[in-house]
Amino acid sequence: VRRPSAIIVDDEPHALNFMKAELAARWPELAIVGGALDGPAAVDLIESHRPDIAFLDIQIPGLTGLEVARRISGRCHIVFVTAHDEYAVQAFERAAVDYLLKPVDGTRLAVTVARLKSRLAAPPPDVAALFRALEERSKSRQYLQWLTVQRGERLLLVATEEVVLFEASHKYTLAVTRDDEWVIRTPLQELEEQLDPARFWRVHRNAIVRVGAIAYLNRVDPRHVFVHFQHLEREVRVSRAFFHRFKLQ
Amino acid sequence: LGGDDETILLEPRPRVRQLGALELGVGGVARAQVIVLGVSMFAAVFFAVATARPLVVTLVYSLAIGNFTFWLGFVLHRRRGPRAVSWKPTALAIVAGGFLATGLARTWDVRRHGGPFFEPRVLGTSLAGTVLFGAVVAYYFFAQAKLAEREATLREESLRRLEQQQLRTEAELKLLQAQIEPHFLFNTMTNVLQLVDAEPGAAKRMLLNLTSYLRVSLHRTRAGATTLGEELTLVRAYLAIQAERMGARLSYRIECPEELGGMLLPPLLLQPLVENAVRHGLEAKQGGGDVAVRVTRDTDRLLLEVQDTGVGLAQDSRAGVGLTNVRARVRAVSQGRGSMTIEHNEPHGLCVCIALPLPIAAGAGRAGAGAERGPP
Repeated sequence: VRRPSAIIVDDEPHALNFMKAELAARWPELAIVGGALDGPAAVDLIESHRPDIAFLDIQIPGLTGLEVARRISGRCHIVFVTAHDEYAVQAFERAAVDYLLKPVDGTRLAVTVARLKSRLAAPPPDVAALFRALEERSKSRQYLQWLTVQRGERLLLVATEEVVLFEASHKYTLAVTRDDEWVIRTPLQELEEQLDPARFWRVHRNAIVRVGAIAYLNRVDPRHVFVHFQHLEREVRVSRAFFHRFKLQ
Repeated sequence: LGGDDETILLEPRPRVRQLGALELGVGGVARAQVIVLGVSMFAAVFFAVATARPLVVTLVYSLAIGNFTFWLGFVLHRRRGPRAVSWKPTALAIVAGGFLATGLARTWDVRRHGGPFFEPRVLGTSLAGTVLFGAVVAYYFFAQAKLAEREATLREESLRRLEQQQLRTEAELKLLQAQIEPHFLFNTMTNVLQLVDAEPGAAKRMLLNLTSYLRVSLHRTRAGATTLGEELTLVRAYLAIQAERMGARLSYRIECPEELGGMLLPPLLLQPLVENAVRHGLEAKQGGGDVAVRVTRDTDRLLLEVQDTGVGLAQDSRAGVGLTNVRARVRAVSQGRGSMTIEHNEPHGLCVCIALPLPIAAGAGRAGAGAERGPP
């Protein structure tokens, strides 16, 4: 009878060795055929050794444990290991994917071992359901978070969350924060497509404002509405086309 | 992934409100009309006695002048927008209103009682009436503007106080939560469990470092203030634990002149920068790298610099939230006089530098200092 085989992936050597020792104690027949400290190494290891099981830590460099799982989906049984990932754990529960919490507790590990033993005969399940459950979250991550700006010789980073207002000025765009103004080369139109539409609103042909920074609106008369900000002495006109964003007639 | 998004909501939700001296509403308009009528009556009686003309005639003149100057002023000001009470529309309203009203009233008077249109005595009286109303109208407008402004200031002040209170509560809560990061704790425990059998000496060291990390963290939650020396104890313990955990993937150095150890330093400035550098910069990097913590002081500033050779800031990096929070804290504890810059480190990684003006106030570190000051 062929012994079942497994690999362990963890970026911390001691944690990897701990898992190895615990598994040896709970499942002596299991052959640990390798260990990897990062994502790409894990993928290589799985492809070269074809183990039955992969214990994947989620927070590893290169590729996360989840990305590794997506690449090797269907090739081996997967058990995720994490110290504290409330969101991922919810997703595992929903998708009925096995997981362990660190530090791994022997009794809990015994349950996982028993489950794995009973499943090994069947082909590894597809983890597509898991990624559907996780997808929503990754979507919200695609917006622009940082601007690289130049001051003299230095390249500085400014979080979009700190920008109060983007203003078109000639060929450039002005990013205005509480304490500073930065010139960036991305045209306003292009910028608008990269910013999170829930947090940044176009209010005028020449201006995008961060909704969270708005203090109040001043409606001078039915056609003239101005945005005022919390920590910035500026006003920006809202053009008629964008009145609906503020529920204005 | 994971639930460690450490967002501190520093800005309250946007409010929509209207300011304005002449946004009178129905009640205000009625009150203004009563004032106009009252002054008109008074003027009519006065000029009737003074010029020996019938009360009806002086009443027509004064009502016309009063209403024209006031309502013209009202309309002109509204066109310029609330709060914008100024001399120009007021003067225009008085002059134009006076002319129009006198013209109309005189036309009616001449039709009814005869006589030439341009009668110096009547026009003189009319002029006097206009001056009288002009004074009342101007006073009214400026008083209204002042009143509205004072109300707006009061409203803003009470809102700001409310915001500050909210911020203080939030900051205290976040300070508590920010102390011990679950990932850090559970991963460290895993390492200790392994080392206990394999390398008891290393396990002991790790537990001692964890103890001093926890001691400073917990003590600080109660005390609020901290010193640079204490902060460095925390940072040193943290880095020692991480170095053991990450093995060859992390090297670090801390540079700080010894005499600065006793200096007051608000908590949660240096520590989050170091933890950010390790967690988001180096743990995420294949092969790891190094972290350098440098504390220096020049004549009037304390400089805290954390440099790493990690992955830098990707567009989806979670380091952003933490750094944004630290920047808000720098602003809060230094009343806006400190600064923080985030720079690309060559060839990769980040260099974050905080400059705090000296001296640092004793109360600056308290959680409540998270409340921000608005513009004057």
